[in-house]
Amino acid sequence: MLNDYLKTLISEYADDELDLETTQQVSEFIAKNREAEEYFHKLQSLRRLTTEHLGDKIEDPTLELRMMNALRLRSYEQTWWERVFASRVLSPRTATAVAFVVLVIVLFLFSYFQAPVTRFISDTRARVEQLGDEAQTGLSERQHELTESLGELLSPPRSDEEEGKRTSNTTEQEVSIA
Amino acid sequence: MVEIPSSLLIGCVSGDDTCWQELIRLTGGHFQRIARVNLRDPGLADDVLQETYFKVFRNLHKLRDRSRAMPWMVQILINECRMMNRKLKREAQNESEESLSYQLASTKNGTGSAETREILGRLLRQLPEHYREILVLREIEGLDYEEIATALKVPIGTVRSRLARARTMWVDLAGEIVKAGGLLDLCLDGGDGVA
Repeated sequence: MLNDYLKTLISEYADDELDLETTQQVSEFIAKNREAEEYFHKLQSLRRLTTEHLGDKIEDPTLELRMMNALRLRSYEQTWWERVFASRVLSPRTATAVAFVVLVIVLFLFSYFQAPVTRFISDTRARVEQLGDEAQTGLSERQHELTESLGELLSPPRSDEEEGKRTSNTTEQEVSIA
Repeated sequence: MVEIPSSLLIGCVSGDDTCWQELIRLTGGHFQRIARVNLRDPGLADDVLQETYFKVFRNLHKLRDRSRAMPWMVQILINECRMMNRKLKREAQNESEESLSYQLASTKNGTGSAETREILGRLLRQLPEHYREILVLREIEGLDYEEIATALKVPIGTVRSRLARARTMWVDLAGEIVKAGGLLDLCLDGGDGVA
């Protein structure tokens, strides 16, 4: 029973890919071993038959015209921006590699700048809270002032007696001055 | 393998229609053969070729090593075939061993080379994708190991081992499937009686 190694050697022998010494050895082996000879004979016959029947040039006079026509149609079927976009699109393998590299860079940057970024965020938060408190306090004071002034504005008008008293007091003051 | 002149590639990059026509003329036949054997439905070879040339058209300016143009284009073609096969994978596979054996039987009864070609193609399509690709590039297109390695983007050691494994499976499959039809008889006769 021929093993894979021997079949590989016979395969390379059939293609004349072995060095001189190995070629000689394989040739002798094939001559001595009936199974190897049969395998080699079948292989060569099958190769010859295949080359004869499938290796002949296909006569297709319209192939060139068909392909050129298809190329022209394919070249103009897209708009200019579609072609630009298509030429810039990465192949799936490249896109995956680029995505991976970008992810690694982002992770690295994140770990490197984590402390300053965290500090910045906490400082900003504290500052925002402080400003919020100040604004709240200021608003409360302003509200209080507004309430007071509104209260004064809305207080009832003075009575006639009070008005009379104020007039007599004024007259007295004028007399004393005189 | 076909050598593509650098001047032709430069003309293609500059958008010269005549150069494109020449490039298609040079490579079209080879690509059609590869596509027909690699596709589950050989009738879709034109679609795959169209997509391949479109991608070549769009990306040719990115090709740095012009001496590797052909393996690069074959690589695009193989990828397109794989994508098309994946698209077709869900569809029911009508090609059973039974029908193949039936065809082989009719071939033995003295039919022409078109049938033999069809049977050989179907025999290759029975192989797993990775093995079929490598066999097609080697046996039909005659690429050397290094060119196959470039086209399939695998190390040369993988090409050696995968090719040997593919050939083992190929011979076994031919022996197993064609018992009824006697393709091996045709093989051992060298196919002269059929062609």
